[in-house]
Amino acid sequence: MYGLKAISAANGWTITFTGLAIVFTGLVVLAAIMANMERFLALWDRRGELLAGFKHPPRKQPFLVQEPRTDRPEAPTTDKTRVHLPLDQIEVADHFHLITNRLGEPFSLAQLLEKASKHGLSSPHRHLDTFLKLGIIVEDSGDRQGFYTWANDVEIVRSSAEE
Amino acid sequence: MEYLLDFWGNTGFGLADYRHFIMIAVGIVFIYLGIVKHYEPLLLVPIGFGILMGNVPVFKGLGLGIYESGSVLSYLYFGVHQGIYPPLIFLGIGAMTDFSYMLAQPRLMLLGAAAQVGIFLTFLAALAMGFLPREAASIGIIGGADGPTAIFLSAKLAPHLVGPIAIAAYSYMALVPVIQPPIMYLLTTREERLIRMPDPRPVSRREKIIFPVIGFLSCCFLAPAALPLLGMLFFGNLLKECLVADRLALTARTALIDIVTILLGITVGASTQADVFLTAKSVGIFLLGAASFMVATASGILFAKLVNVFATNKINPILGAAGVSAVPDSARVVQLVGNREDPGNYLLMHAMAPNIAGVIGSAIGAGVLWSFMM
Repeated sequence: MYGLKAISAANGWTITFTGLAIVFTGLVVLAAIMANMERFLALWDRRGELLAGFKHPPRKQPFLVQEPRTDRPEAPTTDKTRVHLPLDQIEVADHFHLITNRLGEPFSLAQLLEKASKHGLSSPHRHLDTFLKLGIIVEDSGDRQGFYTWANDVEIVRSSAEE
Repeated sequence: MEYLLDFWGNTGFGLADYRHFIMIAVGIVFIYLGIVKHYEPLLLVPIGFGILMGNVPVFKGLGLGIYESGSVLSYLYFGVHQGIYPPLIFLGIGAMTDFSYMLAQPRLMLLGAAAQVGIFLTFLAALAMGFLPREAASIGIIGGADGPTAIFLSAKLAPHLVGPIAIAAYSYMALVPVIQPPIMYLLTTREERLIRMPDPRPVSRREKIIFPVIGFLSCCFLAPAALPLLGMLFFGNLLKECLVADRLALTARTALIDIVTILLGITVGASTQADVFLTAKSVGIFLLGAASFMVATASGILFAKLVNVFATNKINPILGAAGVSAVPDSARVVQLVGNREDPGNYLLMHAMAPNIAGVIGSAIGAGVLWSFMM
């Protein structure tokens, strides 16, 4: 077979156009990367400066007390919101209380999780997430933002289904 | 008398026919071009002598010829028909090539891509002339003007054509100073040839180190079949640029590439045994190879002219001729032609950019053709 018929029979046109497209794409991509490489490297060199805008300055924990805080007035029992938890989570909450008693309030969640993991508590992240969602543990305000305390207006009670 | 006649019948003189003498003449021409004219002497001298070795007529069955199993030459030829030598040559090329001219002017890389049009148009022409698709693909790659790539692809797709294709590819590479200038003059005006290029920016060491890694990944993810060639090319360049593997880079660009070039040249030359080589197909391959080379040169030049229509910073269009990957001969020819018009115009470093891009482009082209034919 000769001529255009031979080219069509061997998919010559498709191979040619696809092949040329791939060669061009390969070199265009490479050229584009290399044309911008100097800029990427300049950005990389300034990464510390650029990332500084996104980072909070490192803050010290405002104060750490070995004993639970006593200066906070206890809320009247009647005003407390009741939160129902299953028994296993109540145990976890008790465990967290023990840890935070040692850490002092307000406490860092990272430290709490670290201690909880060291104590062999399973899935502390999951439990902490539940406590945060239910408002049992709340974020402090003002210059203590980023640290957490136990909510005084929340009372943990066992779920009725388990009683 | 009978013994004497027997003896005569066993000698090369008794076994030879006119085809052997034609091929021996071709071998002598190659050696002449290499030694006297200095056309690619590192390739033409071994290939020329290989042609002489391959065309001394010998008894079949004695294990002497390159196509006889168990012969020394057949063992050496193993590296050709299994595609081992070309990647090793690419390793050496990578270890000796400075990519910084290309990195400094990435837009010139497109000229290297444009010159690969020759590969695909020749592929179409070969199909139209009745070559099988695998043969046509192997012939087309001659337009890449890259000997190792042409050998690699034809060894994979059409091993019976390795000899003619390699000889055609290296012949035309050696004839770059003869083939390319008329095309440059034909397709460009004097004003265009006088265009001066701005000095390339300095390229940092980090860019040179990052390039082979990124280049390898981006090209080989796009055309995985180019991995043996491009992998070795970029690896060789990384050895050169990283500065902590000097010994390996030095070996790759000196001893290793020299050994492989000797073995490749001799065996490719020896593979041109008259009875295998002198066929109508070989003539067709030579004609198509020449056309391919010319089309590749013209494509690069015309693409540069096209870019100039849109670009504010004009490119000297003769740089497009360096898009064929005959490194560094075509870049040198661009320099000579540019210098002839304006003795103060130095185009060599600019021409190296499309020249090296052409090496990458032809390897990608070979990978693409190989993957289509698998």
